[in-house]
Amino acid sequence: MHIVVCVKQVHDPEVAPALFTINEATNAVVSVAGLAQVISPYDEQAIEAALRMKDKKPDTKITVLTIGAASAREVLKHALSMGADEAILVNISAGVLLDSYATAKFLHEAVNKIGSFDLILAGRQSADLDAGVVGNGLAELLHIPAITFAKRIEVVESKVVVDRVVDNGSEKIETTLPALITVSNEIGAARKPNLRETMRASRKPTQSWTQADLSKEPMEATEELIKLFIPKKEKHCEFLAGTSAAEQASLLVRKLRDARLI
Amino acid sequence: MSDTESLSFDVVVVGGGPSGLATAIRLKQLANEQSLDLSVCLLEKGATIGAHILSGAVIDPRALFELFPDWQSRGAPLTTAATDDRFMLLTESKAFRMPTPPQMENHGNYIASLGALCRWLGEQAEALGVEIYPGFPAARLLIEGETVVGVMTGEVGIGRDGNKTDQYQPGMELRAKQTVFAEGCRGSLTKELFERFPLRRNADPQTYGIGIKELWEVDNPLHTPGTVMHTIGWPLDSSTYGGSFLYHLHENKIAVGFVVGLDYRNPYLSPFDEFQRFKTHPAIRPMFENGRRIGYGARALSEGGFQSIPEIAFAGGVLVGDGAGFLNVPKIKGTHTAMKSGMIAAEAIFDYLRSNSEQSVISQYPARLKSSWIWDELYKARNIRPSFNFGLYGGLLYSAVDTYLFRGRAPWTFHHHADHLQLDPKEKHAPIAYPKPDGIVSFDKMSSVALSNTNHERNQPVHLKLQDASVPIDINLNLYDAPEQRYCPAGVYEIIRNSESGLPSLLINAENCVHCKTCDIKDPKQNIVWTVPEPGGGPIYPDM
Ligand SMILES: Cc1cc2nc3c(=O)[nH]c(=O)nc-3n(C[C@H](O)[C@H](O)[C@H](O)COP(=O)(O)OP(=O)(O)OC[C@H]3O[C@@H](n4cnc5c(N)ncnc54)[C@H](O)[C@@H]3O)c2cc1C
Ligand code: SF4
Repeated sequence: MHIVVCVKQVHDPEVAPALFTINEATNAVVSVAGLAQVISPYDEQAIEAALRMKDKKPDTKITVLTIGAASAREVLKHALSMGADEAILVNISAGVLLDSYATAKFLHEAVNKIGSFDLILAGRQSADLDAGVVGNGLAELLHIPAITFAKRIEVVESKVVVDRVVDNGSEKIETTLPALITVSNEIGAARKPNLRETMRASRKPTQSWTQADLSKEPMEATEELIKLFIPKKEKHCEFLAGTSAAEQASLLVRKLRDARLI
Repeated sequence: MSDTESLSFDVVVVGGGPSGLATAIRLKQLANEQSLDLSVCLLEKGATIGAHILSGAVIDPRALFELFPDWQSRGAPLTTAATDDRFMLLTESKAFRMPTPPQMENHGNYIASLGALCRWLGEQAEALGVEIYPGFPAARLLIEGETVVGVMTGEVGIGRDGNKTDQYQPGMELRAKQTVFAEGCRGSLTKELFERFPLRRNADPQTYGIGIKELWEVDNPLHTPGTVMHTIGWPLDSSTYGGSFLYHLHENKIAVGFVVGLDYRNPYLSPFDEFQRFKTHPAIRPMFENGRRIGYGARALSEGGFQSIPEIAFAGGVLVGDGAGFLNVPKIKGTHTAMKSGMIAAEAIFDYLRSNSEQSVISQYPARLKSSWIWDELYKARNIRPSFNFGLYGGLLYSAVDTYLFRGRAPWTFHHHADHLQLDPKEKHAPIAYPKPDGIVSFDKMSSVALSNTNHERNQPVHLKLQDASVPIDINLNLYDAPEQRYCPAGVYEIIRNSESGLPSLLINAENCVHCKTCDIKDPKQNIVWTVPEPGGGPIYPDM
């Protein structure tokens, strides 16, 4: 079986928010110098899901695929160190912002170039933009079924059975391969890279493609990000006048009414 | 033996700071020059190279020049030349400019982030063929007979209860003809080596300081890249050794930090709060008032210098860098000596391994080190730090005499005492009333620790091990009012009281640890032992 896992490099969501600012001219999030970016945690769990299938069926091949700047090689290295077999970087210039549609189209071209696959996995959404659209978009372009929010995946011959997280529990869905599945955090913690795999990672096949390798048309975003900003939180503190509790209470009620809160 | 996996290298380096990286680079340079195959593997506990590095730093490029004469064209991140030195004595409301002692003159040095320099050194090392594995701490020594034969990496997936979880992955044995310990100040395996081999038998006890640092982004005409400022005096009393550093970097950044000698006596002293209070001084505050704090962290540093240098070579391995105590205290610099010691070790190891392959003592390393500039530099500086046992003014006066009159060659040598024995009982002192943080230039511990981005898997055994569970209350609380609550810069130690019985106990918030090693040093009964946590744990410092 051949599983392709789509992953994305993001700013480390565990890092203190104070270490980031927004460049208003480019609408980009900028971190202080010296912080490494990481693999989006849901995508890491998608790799975990693939590895669990490989644990059961050792002849499974796992290819990780990312679109990103040269620095995204680090997330591929991470995936290979966890145990993935091959990696592909579709290299775009740093600072290029792709929207969900352009990303899905790009991945589509890349998957076509990869050729055959049985299953495509992706995280349920990226940890930075949280849109959750790319996986479904890619399935649509490939004309294959998509199942989202998986918490358990089982391949039985040419079918896949997925436990899918819904509001009050889960539902079981079955479809035929090839298919695309997005993985939710309920799948459980991703394994840590182990030293043996990490040592082998640099010798595993890694390819780097550019846009020209994929298609002649430029991949243009169809959406425009108008403004990215950090909402300002303001706090005011006012002491109520009045000498008795009753007086203060009625002043409070008046204040709340004036503010249209009650 | 069990089914532990084992791999062999020519050299394994433990620690990816300046000393470990310089060792690995020099080894590969020599091997590549002579077309010899030499496998060098470097382990680093931080998630990336640089993630656990915290320093000042004003860096003397002497060793870097020797390692890469073309470091400038290779793009090493030393770009802010130190141009202006200021040495100030603070009183509560005033600041007096003092003549800069010659050791503290920084002409020719650079203000930089040591984390960034290490990342760059890491790239150079990889390009030369060093195998670098960040995120893999060395957790145990491998010793056979009386010989170090390598290290074992940490296990993953042991639960808090000590049982294996479904994430369990065993550690791996890394065997080497020589193992280089480059763990920096108070290395956990280095400490075991001190105990296992009597490497310290002819040395004074090591004495340490804790350095707490913040990185700021300021928008302020007072910011002048290239300025190096040190202060002594307020807020510390004159019997406590310490002071601040304030380095103006490019891109509107200021590195500010405070160092307190860990031989302090007053158990109520809190290095963190002294630092916060320092920033409220009228001569300091304006620098930060409209700035933004973007980094926080802490690290111990070795202050013993010459007298405290242990034996640095033993069967199967060597010590390099601040783990061996090669910091020059009056200069407050250890990067150049850390790198140089690594380079000397690499050359001695390389010469040895060319003709031998058994794990033996590389006696050429200490021999060559003693004829290098490190030795001379540390020898001349040896009496400055201990002279501050005479108090701040006594120390200043002595230092001037030693430096100007004897040029560091006074016919005597002062000695050091172990820091953990220096605390007075609490009755001898009154609690210190530290001012409340203002949220503008001074902050509380918890919001500070958040900026270190430190994190540890919760479900793992506490990596701060108590040898005796009764000591924190029976001794530390009763005699010293639990000083670990105050010296720990990350709020790891908390005395809590049972809501019914009112009985006190020590809570260890191990997740918050920033790996500074202070508790391992200062705990009065040496009851707290810092061990490496599960792989991946610890701070994520941006360019600190
Ligand atoms: C606050 C402060 C200010 C300073 N200012 C200056 C200055 O201005 N100029 C200057 O030159 N020097 C300065 N120094 C000193 C300088 O930082 C040190 O001398 C230098 O970092 C020592 O280098 P090292 O390689 O020996 O150790 P470190 O820099 O401490 O590096 C050790 C590395 O080993 C890793 N490690 C430790 N144990 C293990 C293990 N068991 N397994 C795997 N990895 C491990 C650590 O994570 C770390 O990355 C300062 C130090 C401090 C604390
Ligand atoms: S627990 Fe110890 S090593 Fe960790 S931050 Fe506190 S004092 Fe430092």
